[in-house]
Amino acid sequence: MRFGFTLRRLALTGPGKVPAEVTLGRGLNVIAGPSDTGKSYIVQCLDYALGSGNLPKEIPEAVGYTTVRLEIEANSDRQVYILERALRGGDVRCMTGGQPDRVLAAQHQGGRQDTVSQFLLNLSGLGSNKVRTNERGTTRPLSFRDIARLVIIDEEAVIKEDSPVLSGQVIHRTVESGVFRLLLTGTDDSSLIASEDRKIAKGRQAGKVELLEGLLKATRKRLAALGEVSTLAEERSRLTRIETSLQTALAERNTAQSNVAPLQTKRGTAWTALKTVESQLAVLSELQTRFRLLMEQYKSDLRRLSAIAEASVRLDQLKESRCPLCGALAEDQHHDHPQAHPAPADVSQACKAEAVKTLKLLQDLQSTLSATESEVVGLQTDRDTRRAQLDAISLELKGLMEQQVEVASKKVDDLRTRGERCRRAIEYLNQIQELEDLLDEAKKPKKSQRAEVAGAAVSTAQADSFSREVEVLLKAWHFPDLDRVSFSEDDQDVVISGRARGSHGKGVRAITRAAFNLALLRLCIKDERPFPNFVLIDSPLLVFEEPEAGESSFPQEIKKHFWQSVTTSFAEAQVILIENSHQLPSDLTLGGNRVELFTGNDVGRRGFIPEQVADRST
Amino acid sequence: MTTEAPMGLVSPFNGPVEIGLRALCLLTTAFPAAYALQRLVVYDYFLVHSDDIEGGPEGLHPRTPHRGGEILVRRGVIQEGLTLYESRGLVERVYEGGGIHFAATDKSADFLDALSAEYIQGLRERADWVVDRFQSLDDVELDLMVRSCIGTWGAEFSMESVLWTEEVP
Repeated sequence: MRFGFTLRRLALTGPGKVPAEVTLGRGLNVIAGPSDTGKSYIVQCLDYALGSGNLPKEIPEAVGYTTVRLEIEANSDRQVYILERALRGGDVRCMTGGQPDRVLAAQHQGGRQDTVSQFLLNLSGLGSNKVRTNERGTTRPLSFRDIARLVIIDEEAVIKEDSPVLSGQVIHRTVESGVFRLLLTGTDDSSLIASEDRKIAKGRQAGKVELLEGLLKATRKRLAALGEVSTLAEERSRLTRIETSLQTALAERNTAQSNVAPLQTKRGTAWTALKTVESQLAVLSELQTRFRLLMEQYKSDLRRLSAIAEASVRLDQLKESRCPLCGALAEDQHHDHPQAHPAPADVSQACKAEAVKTLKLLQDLQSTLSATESEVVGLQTDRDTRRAQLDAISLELKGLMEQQVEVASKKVDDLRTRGERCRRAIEYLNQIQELEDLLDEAKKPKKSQRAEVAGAAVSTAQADSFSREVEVLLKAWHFPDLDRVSFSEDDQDVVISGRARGSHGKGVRAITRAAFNLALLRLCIKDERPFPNFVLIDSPLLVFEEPEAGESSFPQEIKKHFWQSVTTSFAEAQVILIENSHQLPSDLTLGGNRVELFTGNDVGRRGFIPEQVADRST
Repeated sequence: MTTEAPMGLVSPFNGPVEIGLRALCLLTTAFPAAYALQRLVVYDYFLVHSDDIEGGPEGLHPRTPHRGGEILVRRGVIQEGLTLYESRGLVERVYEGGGIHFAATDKSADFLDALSAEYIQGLRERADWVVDRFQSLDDVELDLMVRSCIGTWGAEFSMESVLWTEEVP
């Protein structure tokens, strides 16, 4: 057996007190005795040692005892652990041979390994499970206390009307069902994702609404800023109309531009032509200036020549009195100078020749000049014409531009702007529509989504094999009028022969409770499910001890079968039954199983708490 | 100069006859004053380019580019001219002031009067003006004045001289 542990010994100690002990083992253990012998106290101490939050009820015999010690043996490796806890409260000390002592917190806390709960869960193979705590799917880690309810059944729990699964507190229903399901099927709720807390969901919704309202407001404002706007449909049709007009306007503009284009080319040509003439003119004018200057030169030359010629002649007529070269007086001249310069006679000849040439040049120049002049005049006329033409074309172009092209362009721009505005309006209107829809959606109250998360309660189908097990047991015990056993999802309890278990009297409830928990133990062992693998039941046979009205006819032979069944059925696991000694089978042997008998008097063991020796050393 | 003198036939322009004639006009007007050669050089320029001086009469010769350079090259020819006219008794060498000065003779005026060319008239009028205008300046002052103005005479053509290149005589 892999899972669980066996309770071996419970001891109560105190300074100067004789320890109160009870030894247990595998298989069936019976603690029997009359009332007030401490039987129930044992149950409380056991539970306390295993981390119960309830301190054992103070009984007068227990005064002076301070500590509870519980020795347990793990089923997997037979390792022995001692759990020690002070009776007044506090943590549990765990002692193991060969290892240092550990202090385990009594209270379970998810994530902490050093709690007694986690320790015991680990031994049971349930160390890492989660159970859901509510319908929304919030989960919490499993605690040993969740399991304890199903393995330790005290004298009050055994007769409860409620399901053995449940504590009776409604808010814990989900957890408890979950635990039962876990034990039956091995599936826990670790993978559950909790749905949102209603309060949080509400808050989120409110936030969403606020946001959407804010966005709506802003968008409406932007829409209003556009000016007058009508409905979405109207704006859409308006946009279509604008687009059509725009197409027309564009076509018009393009036409106007294409009309203008050849004129622009024409003007370009005219301008080029004008410039050509102007530059020709400039060159010729410059040339003219040069020619005139040359003319002046020639004229001047001619005048000079005539003067020089005349002067030469006159000079020649005069007698030389001095040497023209050295200036010596005539009487001193007996030298020969080479004629360094021409004689005046020659000069006048030269002048005449020169004048002829110059005159010729002058005449040529004259004609050139007049040709130039007329060319210039022609060019000037040309220029004037072309200028006039250019001006005319420019004027025409300007007119055309202003009238047609600019007007058309303006129209296009105008339409574009209007189209833009229209588009924006449509956009905003769409946005507003969207936001309004979202807002409506957000404002709707949300139905709680119970349907989505799988039901927490254990279903009939899930409890099917368990129901079989209960049936087998009851059958073995010869339960009267036994037909089928099924499981009620609503009650989370078994239905025996068509009748809810809890509807019976308390005696029947007790024995069927025993059947329930024992069946669970058997099932877990059979299917090798993680489980503590021990069960303690206080007073399962109450029906015979204190039958209610209507239960007095409960067949006695069931007792016989009951003991037969339990004696033989639980060799490996541990079953601890606490009963009144009357209920034991008459031979008291119980097939070699352990029986602790309390007598309540001086014969044999009085009770759990031993008689104290008269002298006590304090 | 408008033409280039071919070999054998010398250009009459700016020869001793013409230059000497111009000098004679100046000296005749200034008579009996005698001028240094340099003054005659400068006056010769003013004579034909009287329009380069502010308030001067219309110029006789066209305003060719770089004409200011004429002053620099005339000196030799003026000397020749003066010697030529001196040989005919129309100009007289005078030694005074440590240098050679030139003056007209009493025959000079008659000689000039006998010439009928219109050009001569223009020369004589301008000669009157030049002498009158510049006689107050002494040789040093005159030299300074010329130095400062010589670059500007003919500079107006500096850009367009590409179109028209003149050989400065």
